[in-house]
Amino acid sequence: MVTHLYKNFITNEKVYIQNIEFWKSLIYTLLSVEKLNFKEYLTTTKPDGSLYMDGNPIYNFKIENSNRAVRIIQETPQCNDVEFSAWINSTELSDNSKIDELVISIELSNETALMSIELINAWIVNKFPKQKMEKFIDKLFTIKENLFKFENLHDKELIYA
Amino acid sequence: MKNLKSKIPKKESELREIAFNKANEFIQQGPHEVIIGSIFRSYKVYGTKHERVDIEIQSGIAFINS
Repeated sequence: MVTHLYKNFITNEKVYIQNIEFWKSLIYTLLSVEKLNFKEYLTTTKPDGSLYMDGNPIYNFKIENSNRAVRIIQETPQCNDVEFSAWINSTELSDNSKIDELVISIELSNETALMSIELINAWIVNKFPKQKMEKFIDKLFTIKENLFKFENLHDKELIYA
Repeated sequence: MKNLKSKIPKKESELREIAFNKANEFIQQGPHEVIIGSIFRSYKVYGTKHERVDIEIQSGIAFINS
């Protein structure tokens, strides 16, 4: 059974802000121990100052004095599956600086939050090289597919029992 | 958007139909102005590993006439 968090974040601004704070706090907990400083590198508000409120991204940060960044995209839950994927994107910012960003796209649940932390830890704290990181993402995706497919089948068997 | 869709194989385009629609919705909400860093959007195909449609506005204002 997947426990989704902040389910109505797209339609409720208060929940949206709480959802951002959830990620901020999670990332701060992970990175402050490592004495890593980070800040947002993307525009998340409209010119009038209001939030985009589309969860795309819900949170983003770049490590100071590093080209490594993380962009977290959160989608509205559609069903009871563990929806999670990630990739590495190499691109440029407005100041022409090059960045390598870990992009994580999820429906937020206890499961996907933990998987996200695993990936962020590997990318930012353990500084996995790009190729190793891509293999790690593939591995995590395969584990997720197998593990939760089994769990879903088990749930259905319980319902039918 | 039409140009982009025509540049990729039909199968790939069809797979990304919903993602293209979401990207188009974002474009229609323009103009979008970069305030900090850049504006990035990624619309992933549901249930896939990483098939998606990306929008990157690296600086300035984009989609003014949308």
